[in-house]
Amino acid sequence: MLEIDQISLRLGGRPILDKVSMRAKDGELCVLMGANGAGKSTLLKAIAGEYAHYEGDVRLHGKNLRQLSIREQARSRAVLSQQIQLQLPFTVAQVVMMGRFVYGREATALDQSIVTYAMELLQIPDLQDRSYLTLSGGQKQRVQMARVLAQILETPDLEGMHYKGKKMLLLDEPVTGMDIRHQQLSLQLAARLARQGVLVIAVLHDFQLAAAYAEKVVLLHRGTVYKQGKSTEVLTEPVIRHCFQVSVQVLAHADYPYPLIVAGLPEKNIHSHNNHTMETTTNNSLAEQWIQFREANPRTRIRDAARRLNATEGQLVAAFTGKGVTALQSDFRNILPRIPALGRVMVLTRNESCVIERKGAFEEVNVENKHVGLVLGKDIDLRMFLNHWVYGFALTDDESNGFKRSIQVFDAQGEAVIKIFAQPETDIAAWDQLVADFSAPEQSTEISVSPAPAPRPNAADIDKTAFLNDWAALQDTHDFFPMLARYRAGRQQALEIAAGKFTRKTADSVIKTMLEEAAATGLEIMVFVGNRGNIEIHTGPVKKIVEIPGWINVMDPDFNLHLRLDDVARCWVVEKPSVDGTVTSIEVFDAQEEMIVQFFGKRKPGSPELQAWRDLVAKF
Amino acid sequence: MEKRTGLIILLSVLLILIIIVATGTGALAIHPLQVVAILLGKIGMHLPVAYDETMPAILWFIRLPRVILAVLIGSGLAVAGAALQGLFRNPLADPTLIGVSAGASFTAVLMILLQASVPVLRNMYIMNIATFGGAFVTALIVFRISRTGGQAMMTTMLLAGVAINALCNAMTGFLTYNANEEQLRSITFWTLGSLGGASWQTVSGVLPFILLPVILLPRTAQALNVFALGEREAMHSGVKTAALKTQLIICATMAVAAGVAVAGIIGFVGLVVPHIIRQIAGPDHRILIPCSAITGAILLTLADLISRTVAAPAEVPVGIVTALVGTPVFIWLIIKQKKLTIA
Repeated sequence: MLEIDQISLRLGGRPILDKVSMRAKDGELCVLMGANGAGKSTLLKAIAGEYAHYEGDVRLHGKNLRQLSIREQARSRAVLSQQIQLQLPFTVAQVVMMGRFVYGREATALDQSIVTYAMELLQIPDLQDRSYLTLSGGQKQRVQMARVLAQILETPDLEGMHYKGKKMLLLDEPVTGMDIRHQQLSLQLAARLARQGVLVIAVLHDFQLAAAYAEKVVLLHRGTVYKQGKSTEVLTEPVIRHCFQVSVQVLAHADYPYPLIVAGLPEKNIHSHNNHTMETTTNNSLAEQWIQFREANPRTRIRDAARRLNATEGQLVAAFTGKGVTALQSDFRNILPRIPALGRVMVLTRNESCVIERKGAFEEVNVENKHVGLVLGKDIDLRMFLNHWVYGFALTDDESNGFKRSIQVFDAQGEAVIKIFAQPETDIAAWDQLVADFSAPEQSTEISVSPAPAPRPNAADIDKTAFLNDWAALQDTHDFFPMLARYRAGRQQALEIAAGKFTRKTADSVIKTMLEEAAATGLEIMVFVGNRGNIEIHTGPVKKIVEIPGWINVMDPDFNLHLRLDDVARCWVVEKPSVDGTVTSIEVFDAQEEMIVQFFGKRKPGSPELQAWRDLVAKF
Repeated sequence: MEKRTGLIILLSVLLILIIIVATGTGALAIHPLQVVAILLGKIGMHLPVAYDETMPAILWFIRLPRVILAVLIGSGLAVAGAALQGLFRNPLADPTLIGVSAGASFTAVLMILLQASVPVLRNMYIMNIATFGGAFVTALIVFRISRTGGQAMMTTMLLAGVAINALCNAMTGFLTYNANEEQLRSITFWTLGSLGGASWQTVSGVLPFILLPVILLPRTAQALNVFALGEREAMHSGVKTAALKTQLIICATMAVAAGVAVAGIIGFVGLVVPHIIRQIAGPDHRILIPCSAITGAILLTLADLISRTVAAPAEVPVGIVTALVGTPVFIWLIIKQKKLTIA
């Protein structure tokens, strides 16, 4: 049994391993995988006792590695490293005999017979008197394998003894440079050793070999264990794509008990559903255009860039499908309840003039209602109009296009409805599982976008008295929108009607004044930012208010608000009666009479709004 | 095993024969049989061989100390070469090439200069220990520089050697420039590398510094074999690499420094001898180290014999003789290594 607990290691000041924990059982063939630089070899070396300065613990057969001497370690484990540079002309037999060094100064008959046996297993007895220096790369690798085998074995017979709890074999890319037959032979040998109770840990690059031979796969990514388990659990398409940045196909075949993993389908097959080659080309070029545009204008936001490229943001994201972007099924009512399992995320909602970003747990999801879905967690608070949620995508981190790991939803117009970004604390395995479960059967690089429907015309004349009476009789703020709908009144139109009674216009500067006063007094407020498909709400204090020309921002650790002041055309103070007393808000509109943002004092159903908020708004 | 013992016996016999011949050769020729008779006479065995009255004194006080010194220094240098080649895991390592000799030489010159004001430095042992210190430091520096990621790089090793050599030579040159007439004479005499002036006192001064490595190094042979795989692989196989490296550096520099302190820089013995043995018996250090010790003794005794007879009554410094023989071998080695790398 090998137990690794939270080991961290820095080399040359750079963190290479970060709190890696894993277990490997006796008799198990455990394969370490990961992209170049993921930390596999370093982890293997740490297990081999090469470093003294790691944090955490490594225990082999119950004993802490730090307490084992070099000789004790050599008696219980052997290591096959990459690239052994032997420059002296030792014969093959001499090299293999070196494996027996730790068992005594002079070679005994037992040592000799074990060496002969090891050479036979690796099919190198013919080479035994040859100088090591004259061998080919693959032959050298086999000689070295025979040497470590000689170090492990206690009798000249693989099946002659059980090594459970006694021996460990570490193989660092043992089949590199071998032809396919010897690759198979070597791993079969490793598997035989495992069956005899030897704990075998091998670094492999080949998915197919790993899938075929590994009882357990530990996948490292950037110095941490990304996933460990059976090969069928670990070697899945989203996991491989995340860790290796390549797309693969994981296929099942009746004749094989393990998955077949095939790297990247040819381009034309990825788009096979797409009969119009021309369109594919166009879309590829949209992806390229975006990358080029981004190089030239690194600071431009994707939403504005899409417009400059004569496309929508949704089309831009779709153009990268298959290249780190996965199209999701539009089954959002089933996807949303899975998001809480991801842990801490950042949810972004924006409209033309305002962006809200809130970090925290995505909890208390309710999608029962036909019109509006709810997220009512203490951090993330959303009202979702799911009929506008049309295209979903899962994005991965990508330097070239600037994408970050996120789930993004676009409406029929290709405008972003919501973006859910991964945070360092996010459970990436759960994320990948979700993406895998909801990956759309057709991965198209394009989406069809329709023009926005014409805004519903406002009623020409409204019975003002009746309307104001209804307003006065409001029981709940949620009744307000249905009331507007009943009168077919535009929101701004309604505020105009109620001006002097329930509403009053104020200067645009109230936004800044209000935010700064709330920040200064610690007043808890609510901020509503929405678009056609979603409203995101922040409830709580605001702390750091930053004004830059044209914008006002809240820059708190878990809450960000970016409001484009240039777009603000009108501000209203609005009062709505309710059973809990009057509810006062500040509503901000743009020149097209679209609502940009709404501010309330913090309140809960059943209790009146904060007096401090009323006092603050009363000043305007 | 058989091969090893056989070769050791063969070489030992050869060494004894050469010692006898070398001791007998000189301005006054002494027949080998006479040499044997005189030597055995010393331990009370009298052979029926007639020899001149003056012969035993010449043999005992002039010839024999010189030959024994050549034997000691030769085996010390060869063993040091084998150990350093094992340490660097490269057949091109040699005390002169990697600067160990230059470091020892610089310290020795410094000692010669200081002898005038600090009389205690005239003591042979103190002189040897100081030289050893200089050699040890240079060996350590070159080893540290040439090691990257647990592997000693050949090019870096040779370059580091060039640099250390240059630095030590510059410093030695500076000392020489500032020396007075008398100091200059003893520096020049010493730098050229000569076994002249050998006495039993010199022999006893050198003996422990050479004997210790010659006895200790064969014990590391098996570990050195495994060390050839690489430092990490050796550790994985159970070699206590840190202890092994320290032992190798100490033993090798001790042997080199003792030689340099009495006889100046004698190049290429450490390079050529282990190489010849490897050609005959393979790279196994269990054979390599003892056979190198004996062959080094043979080679330096022969070289010294040449140095004092070829232009008699004048003496050619022995360092020149070994360099003349050694350099072609070194060039041949480089070419071989090149071919190996290309293949």
